[in-house]
Amino acid sequence: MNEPTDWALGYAQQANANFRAWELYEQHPEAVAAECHKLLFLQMACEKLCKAHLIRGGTPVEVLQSSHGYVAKQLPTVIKRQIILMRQNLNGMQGVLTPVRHLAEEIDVLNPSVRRDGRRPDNCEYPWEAGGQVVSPLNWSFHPLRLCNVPAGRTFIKLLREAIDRIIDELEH
Amino acid sequence: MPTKEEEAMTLAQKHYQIEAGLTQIFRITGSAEVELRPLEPIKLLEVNENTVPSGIMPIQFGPSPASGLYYPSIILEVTPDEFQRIQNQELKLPNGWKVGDLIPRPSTEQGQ
Repeated sequence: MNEPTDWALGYAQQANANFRAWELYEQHPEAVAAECHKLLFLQMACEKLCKAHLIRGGTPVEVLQSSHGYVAKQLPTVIKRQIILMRQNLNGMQGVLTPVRHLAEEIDVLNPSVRRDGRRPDNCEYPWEAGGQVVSPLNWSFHPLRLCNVPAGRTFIKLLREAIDRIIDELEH
Repeated sequence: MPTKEEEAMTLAQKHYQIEAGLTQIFRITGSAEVELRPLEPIKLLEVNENTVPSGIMPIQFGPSPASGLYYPSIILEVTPDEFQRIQNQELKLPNGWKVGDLIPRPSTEQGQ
């Protein structure tokens, strides 16, 4: 039977691969067929990173294998730790963490199973109905893409990369 | 190298400094025997007005000596309502953990 550490590493490595796909789309925008694809990789990377930390914290893998919606709650704590590790001077870091919390909530609802009691059917995988019409993710303007392009969002993306690298390093050694 | 107690204080104060919605941070304690183990993580219960309710879901981080964090740590973030439910024992902490001492907000940070 595998240890929780093995599972946590597996999730972290998958987060790394998902985020690498996001990074490649950033570097090669001509390869992006639709922006919802790009966001799908960001959402999956964040979810698996959070699940890796939850497994380390004692949540049974079986619980996490069939459930979603951990990003809004856990990702800000993961990013907060990364800020503390990387920044000696924490002045002004509230200005990063507050938008990160908002961004994490928006990334969470990109998952089609996270609907916030039906208030947020928008997601980056499947069409949904709104105002009597079928809406496709292909034509939707996603809030997180805009948020990732403001200064705090760019800092978030950098911290996310560092957080993924760090957990893999910790679990491999 | 700081003691686990000292590092818990430092970590909590940094969290207060960068997280606007944090109202209280408590130590979480296990049994005396467990807490004496050198590798037993620092455990913090953080009451945050800005988080979303999701029950008891602790997450763990490894130590990072290069950044001055010598012990593993576990963070359990809850909403004020969830904290009340922990106090009322409607929500249970895992592993026999108990809510320990409040780590106060640093006084130099109160005016920010």
